[in-house]
Amino acid sequence: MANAESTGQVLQGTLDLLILKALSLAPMHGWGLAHRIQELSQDAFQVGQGSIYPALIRLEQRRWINTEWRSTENNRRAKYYAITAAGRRAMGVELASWRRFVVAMDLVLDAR
Amino acid sequence: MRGSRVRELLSRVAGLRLRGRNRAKLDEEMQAHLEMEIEHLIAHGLAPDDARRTALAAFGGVQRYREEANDARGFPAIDSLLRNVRYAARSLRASPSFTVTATLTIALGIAAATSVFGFVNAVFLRPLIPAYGARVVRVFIQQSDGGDGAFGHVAARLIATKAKSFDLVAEHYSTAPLFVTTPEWQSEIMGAVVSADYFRLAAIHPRLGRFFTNDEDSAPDRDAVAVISEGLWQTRFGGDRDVLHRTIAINGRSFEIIGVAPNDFYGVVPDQDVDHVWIPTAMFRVGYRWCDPLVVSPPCTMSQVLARLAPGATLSGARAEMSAMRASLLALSDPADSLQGVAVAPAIGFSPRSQARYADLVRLLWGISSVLLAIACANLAGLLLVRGMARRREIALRLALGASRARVAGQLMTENLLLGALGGAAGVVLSIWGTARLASFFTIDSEGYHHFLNARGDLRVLGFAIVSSLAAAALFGTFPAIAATRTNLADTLKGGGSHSSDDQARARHALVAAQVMLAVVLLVAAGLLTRSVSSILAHQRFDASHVALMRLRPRLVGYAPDKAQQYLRNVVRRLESEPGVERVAFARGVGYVWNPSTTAAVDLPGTTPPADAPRTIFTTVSPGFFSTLGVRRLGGRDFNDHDAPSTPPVAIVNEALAKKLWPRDPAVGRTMTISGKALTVVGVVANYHVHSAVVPDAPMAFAPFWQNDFEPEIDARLAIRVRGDPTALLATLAKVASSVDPTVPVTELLPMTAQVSGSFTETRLASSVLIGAGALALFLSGIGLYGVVAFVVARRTREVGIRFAVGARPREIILLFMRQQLRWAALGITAGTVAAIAGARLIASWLVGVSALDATSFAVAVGAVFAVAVAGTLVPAWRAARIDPTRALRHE
Repeated sequence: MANAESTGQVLQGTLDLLILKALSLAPMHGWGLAHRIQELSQDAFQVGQGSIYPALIRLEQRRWINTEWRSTENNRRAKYYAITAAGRRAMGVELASWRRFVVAMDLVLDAR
Repeated sequence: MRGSRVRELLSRVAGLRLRGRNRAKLDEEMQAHLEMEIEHLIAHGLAPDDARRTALAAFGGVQRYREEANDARGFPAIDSLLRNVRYAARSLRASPSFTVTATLTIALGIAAATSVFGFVNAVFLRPLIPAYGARVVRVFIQQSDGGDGAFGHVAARLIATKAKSFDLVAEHYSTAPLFVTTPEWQSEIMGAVVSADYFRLAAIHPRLGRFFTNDEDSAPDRDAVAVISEGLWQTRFGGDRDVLHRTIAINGRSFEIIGVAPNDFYGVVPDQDVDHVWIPTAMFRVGYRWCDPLVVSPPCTMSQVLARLAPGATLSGARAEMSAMRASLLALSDPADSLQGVAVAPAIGFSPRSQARYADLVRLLWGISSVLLAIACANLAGLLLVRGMARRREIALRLALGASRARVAGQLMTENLLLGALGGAAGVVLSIWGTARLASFFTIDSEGYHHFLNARGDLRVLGFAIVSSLAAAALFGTFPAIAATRTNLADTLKGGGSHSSDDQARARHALVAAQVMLAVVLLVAAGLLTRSVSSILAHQRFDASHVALMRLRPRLVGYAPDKAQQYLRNVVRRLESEPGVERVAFARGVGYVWNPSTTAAVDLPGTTPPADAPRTIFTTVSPGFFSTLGVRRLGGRDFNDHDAPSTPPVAIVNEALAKKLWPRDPAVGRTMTISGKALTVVGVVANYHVHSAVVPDAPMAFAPFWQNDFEPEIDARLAIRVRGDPTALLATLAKVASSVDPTVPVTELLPMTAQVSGSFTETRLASSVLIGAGALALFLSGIGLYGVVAFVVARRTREVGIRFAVGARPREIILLFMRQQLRWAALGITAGTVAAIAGARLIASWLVGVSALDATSFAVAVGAVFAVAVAGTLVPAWRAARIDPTRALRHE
């Protein structure tokens, strides 16, 4: 229980990219973000919902995302996250490096 | 990307401050998340309870993410350290009895080690002149026995004027007992004969007035100027500023006081007498009366040399230069030393001779304190294991909540280090007292001179204490911390889990057995040395208990041998008529009264022994010397007043010399030679020399005080047998002696027991240190045993209840717990006895009148440890026998 490891866990370091991508579509709060990532990945990623919070703090400290306390449609106070210009630039860089990584992996794995 | 890293760093710094608020915000946010998830799940048709459970599972470990978020926000290392320290402090405060016991354990171990280190530091590590550190060197004649020989004054001047390696050279003779007379008082005061540069090298400035100049130290017998210590100024001159330009008589010559040395200046011989008067080397003839230090021949080597390396000069360069000057330096000192080398060594710690003298003692003390520290650490480890077991639920809970194992172990280690810091601080405080106690054993020597062993602590001692206490806590806390986090979570939380701790139980038993073993070793050593001390002080070979000693020094005031003999006879006559005095005897004025330290070539007539044949201890004594000291006469007669220069020369030998020269025949009536002169043996006395078990009885020869002319006798040491306590009579005796001639210094006034114990400082010190250490070891082992048994009892409460329920009697319960623990104690005692048998030989040279395998010492040590073991186990076992069965069954 201490280490809730499971198959399909998000590759180390990619959670940041997933969060930036999800936020680039629309600002949202933590719960929404967790569900959005699951939904976009068609439930392929079994992200521990709580794991986004440390990541969000990390991204906020790099000023890649902004935060704001707002009311939800159900009148509940929640913290909303939005991507910043710096965040978009960073996402571009990360995305490019991710693509390179995928291409390189494919090259290796497809080798005869 | 770099900019964002900097921003992250800045934000982390801010995070350190804002942590509390941020955490509350994060908690609120997570809470909101969970509530939304639960609502979402209920909306999808789950029952509220199921929804809650599912939401928590989907979220993952709250505590873990909270910690990760915290790490992301601040500096994880500093942050978790601060948090750990705060948490540790809280948890230590919550269990004060554990904290006090553990702190005390560390404190005692560290205090022992640090006290000894303070002593080691003073003897071996501390620079003599801290201002110049290792740039200050001792220059000395390397003697074949490892000692540091002194130069002649002229040789010392040569070093000062010619050597290029040094920019400052100080010449000193620091153990000059000076007889100081003022109109108000007279007293023997320890002083030093020093060159003008001595004060500059010592890096001190006058408290008052000035020090003397090179010019004042240039013409023999011209400038009678003196510097006095602040202590002397305060006690004898009332701290009066008019002390400058006052005149005092030193050894009969008038001196002008020109300055007062600073308060914290103790001279440059850190294990010797504190000097209180300084006079220039040009006045050497006043400071030293036995030969003339200012001339080269006959040799009179009194000058010790301290020097500061010149800028750019190296130690090896100085050594090369001194070897180049060797021949001329030795020729200007003592030609008898001409084969020796001239050594240059950094002035760190005591002189090489003192270091050699203290080496054995330091090794022994170091051994004792290491054993004590080991016991303390074993005890600490045992305490921590028990505490770890007692806290296993708390720890399991934290692990279950998602804290990582490393984090929990780190938390426990922080607690250990905090304990180490607390214990170390208490230990340092205790060690200040401890080092002072050690040094205080050296305050009086066998001649009655006051010594001051300067063992003030410094940063090195403090550093040692810090490092060793933290290291002890870290080293001995690691295993318990790891063991505590290795619990089986499920079992522990369910309330069972006692099986997983069998290894730890065994480790605790083994630790206690080890403590018991070390306690036995210390107690055996303590017993052996205590019996040695009592055997020394019991005067088995002579009776010192009712003897007062004094030294008459007519030589200091210029008496000739004839006048001195008349004077001495008068003093003896007056002392003998004093009420309370039974008998007065005297002996040659060198060494101890009872333990002569001069030697002569003693042989059978007609034999020519090789030049390197061992010399025999020899002294001259008055009639009645042996009966005054209570030494048994085995045959023949004592000296009497008819043994004079005009009658046939006679001698008395001790048993060892009689056996050596005439193994089969009686010695009385035989002839032997002392320094080539034939004497007839008229008496044999018992071997009365007190010495350790490893030294055989030394042969000794005695001649009448005034019959021969080996060396004219002027000064004398008196032994006065009195009724009652000699200490009470000392002042009266001194007054009677002074009444014959008030100008003659009467010194070294002390009861003979003080002289005897002063000669066995090391044994006495080792004995009292060992008694303390043994008691401490016993105490710690007792606590260790108690702790283990109490713990075992607590763990098996339920079992005890069941046993009672099926009809066990209290006695059986007590035996059940005691049998197990006493088996381990017995193992420790056996191992300790074996170790003590092996180790006792190492201290054989300290033992007097007792064998290294002394049965009494072993029996007492084993008995004491066994008694403590029984007591330490009986109390908790007895408590177990009083457990209420019905409550015990409900336990846990």
